Amino acid sequence: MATSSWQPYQQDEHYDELLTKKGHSRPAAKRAVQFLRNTSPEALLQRRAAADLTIKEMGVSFTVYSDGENIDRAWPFDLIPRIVPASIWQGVSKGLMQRNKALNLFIDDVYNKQRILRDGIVPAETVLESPNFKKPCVGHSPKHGVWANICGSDLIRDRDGQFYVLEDNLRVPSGVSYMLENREVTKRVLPELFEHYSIRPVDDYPTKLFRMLASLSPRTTTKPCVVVLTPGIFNSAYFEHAYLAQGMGAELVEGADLSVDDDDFVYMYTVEGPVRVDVIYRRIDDDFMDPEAFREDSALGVPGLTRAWRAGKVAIANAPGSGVADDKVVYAFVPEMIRYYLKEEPLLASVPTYLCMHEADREYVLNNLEKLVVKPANESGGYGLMVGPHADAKTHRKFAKLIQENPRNYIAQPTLSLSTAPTFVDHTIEPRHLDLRPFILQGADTWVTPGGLTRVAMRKGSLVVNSSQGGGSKDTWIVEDTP
Amino acid sequence: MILLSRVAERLYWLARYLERAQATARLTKSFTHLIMDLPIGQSPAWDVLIQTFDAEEAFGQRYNANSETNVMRYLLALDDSTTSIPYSVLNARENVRTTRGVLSDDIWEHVNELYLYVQEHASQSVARRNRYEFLDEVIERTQLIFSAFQHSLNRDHVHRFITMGRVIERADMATRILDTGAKAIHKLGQNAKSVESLLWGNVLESQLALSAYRRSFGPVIDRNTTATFLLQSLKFPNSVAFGLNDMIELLAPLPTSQPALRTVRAANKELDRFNVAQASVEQLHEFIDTFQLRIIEIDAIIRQTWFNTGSE
Repeated sequence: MATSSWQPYQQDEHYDELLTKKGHSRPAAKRAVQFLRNTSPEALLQRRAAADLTIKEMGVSFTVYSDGENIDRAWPFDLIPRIVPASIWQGVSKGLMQRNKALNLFIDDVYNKQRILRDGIVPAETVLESPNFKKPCVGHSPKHGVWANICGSDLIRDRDGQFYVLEDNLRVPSGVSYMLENREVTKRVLPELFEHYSIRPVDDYPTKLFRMLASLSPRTTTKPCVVVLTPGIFNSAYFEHAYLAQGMGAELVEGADLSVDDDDFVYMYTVEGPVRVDVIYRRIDDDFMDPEAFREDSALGVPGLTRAWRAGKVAIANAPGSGVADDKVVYAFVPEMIRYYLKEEPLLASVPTYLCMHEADREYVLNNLEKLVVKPANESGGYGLMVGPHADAKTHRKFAKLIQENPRNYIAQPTLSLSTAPTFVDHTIEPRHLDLRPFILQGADTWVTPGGLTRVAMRKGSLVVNSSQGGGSKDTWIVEDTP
Repeated sequence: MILLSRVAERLYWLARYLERAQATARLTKSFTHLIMDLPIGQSPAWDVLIQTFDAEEAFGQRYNANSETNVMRYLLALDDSTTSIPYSVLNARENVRTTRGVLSDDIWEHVNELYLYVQEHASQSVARRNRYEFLDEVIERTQLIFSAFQHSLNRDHVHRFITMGRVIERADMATRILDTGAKAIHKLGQNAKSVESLLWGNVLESQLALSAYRRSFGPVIDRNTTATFLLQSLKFPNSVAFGLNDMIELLAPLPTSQPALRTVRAANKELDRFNVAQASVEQLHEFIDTFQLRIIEIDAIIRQTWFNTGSE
């Protein structure tokens, strides 16, 4: 046997997904670790090359904006899977469903009766003055009372391995196609491992998505016409839009393909003439969706779409205005929402959050910047945040000033540890930090993906997992405990 | 079956670009072959390829000499000349990228692989040593994609618009090659008398028509029989008449297809009436010129009838 590329590492500071603190494999990871131990570095390099080639040939890509140019990059992938036992996942999955239900009840409430605001559970100004609170949505309630039909929640695991929800992406969460492609690639390059494991399949996602979307249709008599609305080829997630449309057998449309007629129905232009659309899975931000209701200068959207939606002539997922619950200030109140609407205790932990709009919290944050992660309430993709312990004094001062100028716009959280997993970097296997984005579908029913998209910070010690900033990804396995 | 107008347009162009890439590869391959068989003075110059694409002006802006290297660079290596293989392949890929939802995974993978291959090898394909391999790969890979269209797609509007794009592009290329070939061979005059059969054989070869021709007309090849075969054969699937008959079948199930059908039928009638055997080189050229206008007209009608969206 050739020398192994496996150098067991000890990891006392962070939770490792596959190894114990002493460097032994966790029970669920035993077979995989054994396999890696028995594989030479050359053989691993070959497999990685095969994976890279597969990704390139399958055309799995994402688009990065750099210096005003669009670059289509191959999706970065690490071939060692992350393995989570089904018994643990079950609890996470239940917690996500609970959380999602509460979030949707919240959105429906704030656009209608506003009970939670009147009862003082969530401060009214936090919601009503937020740019995410969309006035054109007030007084409407979509089918099933559900606004955020597709949610991607970001989870991390702290030192003890406990899962925490870091944020809920309720606008247009992306990444699910990479979850599906990662599994495809792993099947092709590590087929042996599948013999020893009973792994929950992920490939029925497009079917589940289609069923959920179909359950939103305003027309129940006929097979609903479902479309995916994309901003176009220059969007960073275009690959995914096309992938999902194809997986569902739905049309992938751009704004110019749709129009709203005087009867408030939405039609798409086809070679057979106009065809009525029932459900729009939109992958375009609220602001650009309808120049009539939101930004007038948007060339991507469809004038009158909100009108059609309010008239109940078309379903839009996620519903416009869902972003009101996707806000880092609102995040702090999710445990309270769960208690308020569901009369249940939260099953999944949230990260303790300091709201800079509150004087006491703000004071604490300003005095402890070097310990905290400061985030703008309203950005995604890991932009505009400060990781206190990793930032210099100048950055601390800059953020102190930003917070004082606009306290509503900032929150702070303790620096949590992010779990690690063995990752094949260059020629050796080393620990790298990761997070997890499962996807939750809610229409007539609620469903959670088994696992989700694991994102990896490929640079040593880095905590930034976003693909736009050098992150990679791994296949995520939910495995039955007893093989 | 629903097909977005915008998607229909991209499918049509996907097929046109793929067919163009393949036709360019075949033409270049058979021409390179021919040049090696013939003594200097009995073969047309390299710029005959540029003339085939009506690209003299664009070519002239870039190069002074009609050398083999320049012509090959222009057709095989440049990304930004609209008649090059890399340009056609890039555009084919862009069109698949935006229509993947209605195509099979295979098709996307094959087109993407073709694109990656061309990106990597096009610049080295100028030298004769590597040229064959490059052209063969392009031909084989485009064949594979066309075969995937045949085997993995429902016979619905998606398949229809792809096939229409291919038929139109093929008719366009076939008539161009015939026209340029006839003029070039005529220009060689008495010099080429002894090799005329070889030259016309090459024109057939460039359209995958040589064996099929022999089975219809026997081993002797001249202008009249070649032109008759390429324009009017109802047996050979790459002939112009065959393509027009295909068009009629493709158009019939589409809504509001009357204007397009009328024009195709008119073109078919003109083609049928044209007496190739009696035509001089000039008359052949004149006929092809008029016929090219018909192709442009059919293309325009297809665009107006089915690719129009409300925003335009």
